[in-house]
Amino acid sequence: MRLPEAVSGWVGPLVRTVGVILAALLLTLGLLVVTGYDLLDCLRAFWAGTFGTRYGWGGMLTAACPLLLTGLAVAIAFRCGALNIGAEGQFLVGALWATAVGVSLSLPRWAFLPLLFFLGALGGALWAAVAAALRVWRGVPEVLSTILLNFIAVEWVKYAVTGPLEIVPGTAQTAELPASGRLWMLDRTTDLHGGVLLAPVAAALLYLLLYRTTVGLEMRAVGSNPTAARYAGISVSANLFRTMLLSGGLAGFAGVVELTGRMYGLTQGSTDLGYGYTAIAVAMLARLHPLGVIASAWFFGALASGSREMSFAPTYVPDQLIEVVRGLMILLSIGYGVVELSFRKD
Amino acid sequence: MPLLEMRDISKRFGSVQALEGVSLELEAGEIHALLGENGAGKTTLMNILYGLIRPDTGEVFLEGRPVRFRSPQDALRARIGMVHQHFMLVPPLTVAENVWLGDRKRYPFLFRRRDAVEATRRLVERFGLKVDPERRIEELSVGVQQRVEILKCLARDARILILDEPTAVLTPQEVEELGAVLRGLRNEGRSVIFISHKLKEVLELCDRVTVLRAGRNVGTLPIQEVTEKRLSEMMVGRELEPPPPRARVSDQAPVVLELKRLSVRDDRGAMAVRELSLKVRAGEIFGIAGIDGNGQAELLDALAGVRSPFEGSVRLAGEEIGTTSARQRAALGLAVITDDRQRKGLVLELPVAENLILKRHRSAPFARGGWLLREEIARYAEEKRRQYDIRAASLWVPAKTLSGGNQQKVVVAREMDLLGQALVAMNPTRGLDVGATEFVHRTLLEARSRGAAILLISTELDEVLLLSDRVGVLHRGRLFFVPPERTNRVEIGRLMLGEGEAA
Repeated sequence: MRLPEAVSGWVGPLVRTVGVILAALLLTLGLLVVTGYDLLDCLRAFWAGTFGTRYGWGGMLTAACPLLLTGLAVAIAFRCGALNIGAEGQFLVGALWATAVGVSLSLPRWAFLPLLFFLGALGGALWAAVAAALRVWRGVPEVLSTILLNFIAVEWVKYAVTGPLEIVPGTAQTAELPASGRLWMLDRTTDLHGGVLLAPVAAALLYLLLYRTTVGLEMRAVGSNPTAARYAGISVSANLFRTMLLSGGLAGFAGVVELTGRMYGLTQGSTDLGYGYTAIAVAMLARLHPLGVIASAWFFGALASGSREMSFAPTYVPDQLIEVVRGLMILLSIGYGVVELSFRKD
Repeated sequence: MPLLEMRDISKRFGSVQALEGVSLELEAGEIHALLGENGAGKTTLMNILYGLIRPDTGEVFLEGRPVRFRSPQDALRARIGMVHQHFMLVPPLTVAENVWLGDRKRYPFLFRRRDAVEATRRLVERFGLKVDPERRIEELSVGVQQRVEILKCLARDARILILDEPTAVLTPQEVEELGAVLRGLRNEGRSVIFISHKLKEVLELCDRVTVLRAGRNVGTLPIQEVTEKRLSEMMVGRELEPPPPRARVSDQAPVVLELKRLSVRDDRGAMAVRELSLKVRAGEIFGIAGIDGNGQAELLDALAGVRSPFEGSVRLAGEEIGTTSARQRAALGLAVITDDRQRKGLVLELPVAENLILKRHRSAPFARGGWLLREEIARYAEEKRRQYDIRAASLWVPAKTLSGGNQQKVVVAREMDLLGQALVAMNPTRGLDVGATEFVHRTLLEARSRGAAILLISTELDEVLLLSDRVGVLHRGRLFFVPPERTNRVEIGRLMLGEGEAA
């Protein structure tokens, strides 16, 4: 089967990306050795936490799920000209709206889940729309407005969780979703939930949208060259709006999926999850390509799951070290991009 | 003995032989032009001289002694300076700072501003370059900025100056001034290598010319022995087509494009186009000449549908389109070739095939129900590739991988296919070599013979004279019609400078 040209153009970037990942891993292993951890034990723990055991697989894919969806949200935004740093806030607003309705109703699952999904996506989309409107009508850079909206979303969730939605005063958490509001479990022994199947489907749909529809073409054109897009009769503001709504909607959807799949309710700790920010690294590593995000999120999921395993016995590697790996990953992938650009002087 | 000799230089990049056995000689006290199409190897050769690239074979001799430059520092130390096409100046800093900053020999620790200003003033006087050392770069016109670049070379006492496309951004006035500066340098015994496409200026300013074609030296001749025609033929390798006859368009031909008292504001709110009225008939090319910056860009924007006119009307076949969108105008058959293919004409990150269908991407045959019909697009793109001989690794690679000439072919192919009745083209051959320029001109003339009304806006006077049936000059937003008996370089040149009014 002959690869279409667009695909074979992948191979180079893919190889480079893999190289970046390997480099970061090697550096981390080096760090572990230097700080006195037993390398073999660490590797064994990492393997157990990822591909080596059943619960490893479960942990890996479950951790990847929210990153995949938020990664898609960020990737599509960046690719199409909107620097949406607000995936975190959009995620939270989506989860919040779904929680508010989810803990006060009970419907059969076939109706309940779509309703919650819809609410989550709507919440995230509207949250992004605020920034979009500010950009289109007042020229406020969305880089700023989305970050600020993140803070507001965090406070909103904290308020809800200690106020109107608090299940028992003093606990700072909401009630849990009824059983019909939860995603079906794929594997009882692990956390593996149905969202793990939904996410790649979303990625595939997004790919089709971006590369096979006229709307996608316009969005990409606006993302690369808004001036030329204008001369080609494409509306820049309409497409920026579309992009932000889609991006926010995806992030909000990510929030609901995580809610109905794993969290079942919100707590103070929900505001610390940080998926929306990690998503930026996920998206960059995937070079902003929807299908690449699948692999990238998987990788970050493996990282999270494997490192969690390493934090247990017998190795007890601290979480901070994992943050180091993540940081290295970002530095290397961005740094590589910079090096690549400066060598590609035509 | 020549001052500089590059002997038998070859360089290969991957599968492309950029230079093959090229030799070049430069005497002291000469202005030597290096001519060639894009891809002929001029820039590669100069990059080798300037130490940016190492040659595969061949040697460079300076005053008879072999030299090897490993970096521009080496070249600079050997008193070779280069002024690039895109200036390397720091806009917020002053002239003196730009000239001397980084000169660790002169200012190893502290930068002594007054000393630098003085030193710059001395250079200015010595070489007659008329620059104020204390002005900031961002306040200066392009022509003056170029003089600063030259000053940088002279500050290091360069005896060989390489100028890459120096006249591309200059007004005719500034070109003359540059010529005076270069002659002054030459008379002092310094030498200049002048890389250019502009044959007329090469003939006016240079002493000898070397033509490169496809990586080989096709000939070095003294200026007295060549004509423009001969040089073009050497660059392209074949005889060029004769210039087209002027069309005699009768007054009975229908008026396709009509502008009535069109006024357009620029980005700063000033009136860039003032009450411009003109009519273009079917089967004619109306050329608007003028120096860049007199309202051409705003006029193009207004016609393309990207900028709302302040006042006045634009009619296409009798229909008012002044307030319609770019998309609507494309649907009505108004083709637009902008002056900036990379910024306005193409989305470089998108594949060639997608660029070819822009403006028509929402409708049949390329899309249906919101979905892009990939096979149709691929088929169409392949057809255009053959028709226009577009050289690209694949039609699905990003357009940015194409050369300038091929990128312009994509734009032209696209616009020709949506062309219904009228075409507006601005500087359609900017940055293109002789072969590509000829191609674009031919395409415009074909469109004319098929009955299209063409408005050609060009800052290249020769292009306007070559192609237009009727000519006007744009000066400070106003259009001055040039009657046939006054249609020559001298008269039009005067109008471009704002002297006198056309009858």
